[in-house]
Amino acid sequence: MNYLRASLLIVLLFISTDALCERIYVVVNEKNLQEINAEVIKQIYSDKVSFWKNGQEILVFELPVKSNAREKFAQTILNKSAISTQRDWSNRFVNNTLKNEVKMKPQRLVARFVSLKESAIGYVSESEINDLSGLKIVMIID
Amino acid sequence: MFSAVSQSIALKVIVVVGIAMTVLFILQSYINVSNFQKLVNPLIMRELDNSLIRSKTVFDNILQQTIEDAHIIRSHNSLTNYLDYEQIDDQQGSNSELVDLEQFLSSLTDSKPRYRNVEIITENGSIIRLKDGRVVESNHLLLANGFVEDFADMQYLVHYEVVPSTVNNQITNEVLLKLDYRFLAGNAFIDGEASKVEIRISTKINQPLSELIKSLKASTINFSVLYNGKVLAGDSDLSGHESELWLTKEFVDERTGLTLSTRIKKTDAFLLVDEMQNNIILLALSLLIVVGVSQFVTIRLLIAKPLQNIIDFINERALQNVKKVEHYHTNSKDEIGVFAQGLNQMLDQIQSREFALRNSEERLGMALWGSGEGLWEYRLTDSSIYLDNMSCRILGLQNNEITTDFTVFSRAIHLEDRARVEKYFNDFANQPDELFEVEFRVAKQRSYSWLLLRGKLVSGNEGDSANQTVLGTFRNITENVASEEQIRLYAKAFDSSSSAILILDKKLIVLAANGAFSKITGFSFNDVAGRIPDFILNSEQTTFNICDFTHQIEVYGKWQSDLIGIKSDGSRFVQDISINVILDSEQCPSHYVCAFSDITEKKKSDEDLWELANHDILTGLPNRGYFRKTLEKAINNAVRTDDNIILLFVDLDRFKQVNDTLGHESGDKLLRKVAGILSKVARKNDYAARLGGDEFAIILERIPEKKQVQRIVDNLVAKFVSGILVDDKDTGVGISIGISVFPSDTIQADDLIHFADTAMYFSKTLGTNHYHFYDASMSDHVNRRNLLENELRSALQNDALSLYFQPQIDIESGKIVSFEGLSRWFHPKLGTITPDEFIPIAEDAGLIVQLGQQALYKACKQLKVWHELGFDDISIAVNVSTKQFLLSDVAFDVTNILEALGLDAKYIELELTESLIVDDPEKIIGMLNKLKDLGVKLSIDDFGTGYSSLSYLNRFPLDVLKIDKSFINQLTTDKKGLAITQAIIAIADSLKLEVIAEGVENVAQLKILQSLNCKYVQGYYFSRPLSKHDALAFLNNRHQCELPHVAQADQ
Repeated sequence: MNYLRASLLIVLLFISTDALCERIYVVVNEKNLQEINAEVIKQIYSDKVSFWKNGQEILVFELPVKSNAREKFAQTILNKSAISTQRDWSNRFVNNTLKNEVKMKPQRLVARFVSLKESAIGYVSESEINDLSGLKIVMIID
Repeated sequence: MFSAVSQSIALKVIVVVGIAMTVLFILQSYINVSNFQKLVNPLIMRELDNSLIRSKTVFDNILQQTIEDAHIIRSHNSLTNYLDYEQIDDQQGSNSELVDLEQFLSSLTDSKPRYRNVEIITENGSIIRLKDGRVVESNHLLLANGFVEDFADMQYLVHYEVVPSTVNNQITNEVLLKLDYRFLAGNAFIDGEASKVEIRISTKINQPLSELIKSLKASTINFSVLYNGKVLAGDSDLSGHESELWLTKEFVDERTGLTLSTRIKKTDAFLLVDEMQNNIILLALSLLIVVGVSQFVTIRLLIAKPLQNIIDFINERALQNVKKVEHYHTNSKDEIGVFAQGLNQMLDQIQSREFALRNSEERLGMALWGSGEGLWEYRLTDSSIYLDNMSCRILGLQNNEITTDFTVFSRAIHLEDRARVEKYFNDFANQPDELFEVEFRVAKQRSYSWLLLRGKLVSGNEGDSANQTVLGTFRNITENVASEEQIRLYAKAFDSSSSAILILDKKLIVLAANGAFSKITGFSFNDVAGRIPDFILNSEQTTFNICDFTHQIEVYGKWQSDLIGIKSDGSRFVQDISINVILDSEQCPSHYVCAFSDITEKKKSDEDLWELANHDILTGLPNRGYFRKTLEKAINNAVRTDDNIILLFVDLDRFKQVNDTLGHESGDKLLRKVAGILSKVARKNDYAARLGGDEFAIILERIPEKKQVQRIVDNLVAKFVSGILVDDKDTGVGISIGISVFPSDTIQADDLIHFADTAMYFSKTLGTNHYHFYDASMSDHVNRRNLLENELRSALQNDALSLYFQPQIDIESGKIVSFEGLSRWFHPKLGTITPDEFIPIAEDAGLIVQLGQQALYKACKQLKVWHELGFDDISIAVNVSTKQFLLSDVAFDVTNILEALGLDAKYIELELTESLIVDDPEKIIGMLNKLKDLGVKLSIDDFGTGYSSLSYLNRFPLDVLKIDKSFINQLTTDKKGLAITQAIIAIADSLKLEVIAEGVENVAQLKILQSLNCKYVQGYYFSRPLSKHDALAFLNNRHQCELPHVAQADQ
């Protein structure tokens, strides 16, 4: 019993360590000059803000739900689990109350697309970013 | 076989019925099967449709599933991520995602082995191909072969392909469904350009097809799948699909080019129907056999055999000449049994008829013997004639029952009839007719008998004209002929009668009518035949009384009356009708003879005569005689009904004057007019009559109140008061009416007339236009008047009236200048009767002329005496009544008297009244002038009391005015009397007329008259009227009277 408890604790510790250890960059296109803080990011990913200040519609990139980066981002920014945030997006989509255009892509594609799209915002784990050209890190989640 | 059928009813029936039933069954089965095929055909076609739909569904399901799998592939993240990486040329990412994609596709094709090939080709040249679950090609950024650039509008394309394959070393064809699924993918959100991608999937459909074909085959349905004209699966031999042997249904999917075909053989489709048809025919034949056999047995045993037995019985026994009839015995209760019973009854009837026939023959013989008729038979072939005993006796032949030559027979016929009879026989022989009938006479001592030969043509055998005979009877009809002649005579009398005669049966229905009936009534016999002659007896106008009729018929056997009948044109006529009953042998009425004639004209003549006898021709009113009958009838009615009757007696006043002055023609007109007035005054039920002359009467019935009578009479009098005009001239006639009432005055007709007459006379005494109801006192009055009239008439005849004289004095000299002669009547029993009483009676009774003449004669005679005694300057004045003046020639009378006595006319003065002058001035002037020419003085008596105009004083030849004593009496009491007297004297003076004052009774009056210059006076002051002796004494003693002087009077 004790062995089982110790094993579980180790697993959880490993998971949480992975999640907590991986640094996450919240990025926007480098042309985006708007000052973006955690609250703005939360407002965007809570689908409460859908336009940048310059009037452009915000293109939101999410990572797959199974991604550790998403889990960390969700818990840090939105104080929810990744599953819960995905459910929120799905509910808004089903209820037709979705304001932002949101796309779920792998981290490589997120970084690439944000660098290509001026109105885009996304987040990627540090390890997945080889090239920061075209990107502007607006927040780092440790 | 056929002969057996022809001899058996049962077989005939069976053959006919069998053939009919067979034809009927076959026909019926054919019709039923055809109808059933028509019913089944849509079901089979629907089954084919269902199979087709099912097949189509299989294909659709395969296709739909393949499309869904293409969807799944398209939506898979590995593919989309791969495409994203490919689009941004991220080789690392592409490779990573390609691995995931190949794993996904491998797992997919593994789970669905029907997918033969799965290919993904991108626009950028990548191709991923799996075959039978394994990746056979995975190239990146290579130019993909077969990528279709033209996406057009179609999301996917489908086509089929058959490829050979080897299974268990056997080469089979594999049918593939190939789907080309196209879509756009990639990061269009980045640069707005999406990437074209195509997924190609080849699906093996052999297994579902084979299952489908197998399941349809189980339903005998052949299934084929064609693609672009090639057979993919199923029956490859499609030849004869359009044949009449197959039923086919097809579905062509124009989108995919796939054709699905289901078909079935008709023999398979209608297999059950054909089996049913065969069963029906088999059943029909079975039924036919069963029914035929059963019918044959039934008819043979139940009908044919018993009938044959009956026929044999008839042949053997019944129709043989057997006196005793045997019956056919059977216990059967069915139709054959009933037929046998009917046959037995028929045999009984035949026997009874034979018996009746024999009896009839015997009775005929007896009848012929009893009727005295004989039998004869004439053969046309040899003209021989058979006569039996009776015939020989009738003909007067001695032989008994002979057959002789016709000439022997002919010799017995009367000479005058012989030729006619022989001709009849010859004509009949040449041209036979059914009925033979001829009458002729045979001599019999001094007389002859009439015979009737009747017969009928009889042939020996049918169509054997050579053996024809005439068979008949002889009859002596002498008495019949005599009766017919008598009947003809009666009929002639019946028809030639001038009276209409109807023969009625006991119910009064018309049986016969003669010619006079039609002539009188206009009805033909056909109009009335079979009817009760109600137009004679029961019309509304008739007085026919059925009770009286019945009584008269029952008691006297006849009835007679006058009735009003109706002719065919509806007009009425009076008939003198009589009906006599004809009794039968039991003394009951069997017929009636009704005879009548039109007596309308006679009735009218009678009525005219009656009218003439009972009515006044002039006025048309009933005359006295009829009036009297009517009055009595009215009294009888009044007694019965307790009503009253008013009788008016009407007499015209001054009618004689009308006749005298206007002529009798005007008098007649007046009477007619008066009759008309009386008729109008009388009510509808009242009755006016002319009793004679100017007398009329009116009977008024049922007037309960006297006021009503007065109103009627007042109206009548009013018409006369207003004047009755004739030829626009007022006749001046008046009317006097007396009224008596039944029963209050009397109940006797004579008394009623007498009382009305008395009342009328009473009215007349009071003047004209009066009426009075009868009162008992009137009788005394009238009786006295009548008494006086009679006595006066007698007195005049006996010259019993006296003449008294009152002196007239010259007021200046006191000399007696004249006397006025005044008639006085001293009756020995009635005493002194005043002139006021007897003068009107004399006038009414027409005695005034005689009275006046006598008075004038006596006056003149006395004057002559006085003249002879020396008083030769004395004159005499005599009153002349107006009626006397009108009714007689006074001038003529005066002339005669003066001549007779030798007197000078100048001593004669005639005193007239004003009424005379008023009546007819022109006529009177002429008469007065005649008197004046004689020298007679004329005076107006009682001047001032009349109502005439003063102008006549100038026009008339007058000499003296006599002032009425009423004015003289007023001289001393009334200033008006003095004024009138003064005026009269002044008028007389101006007209140069003398004036005499009458009725001077005292000296005061005398003095006033003296003062007024009145010349002569007369009155009791000087003397009352004196007898001739006293008058003479008066003359002798006081020839000159001493008069008081005016001055003295004044003093």
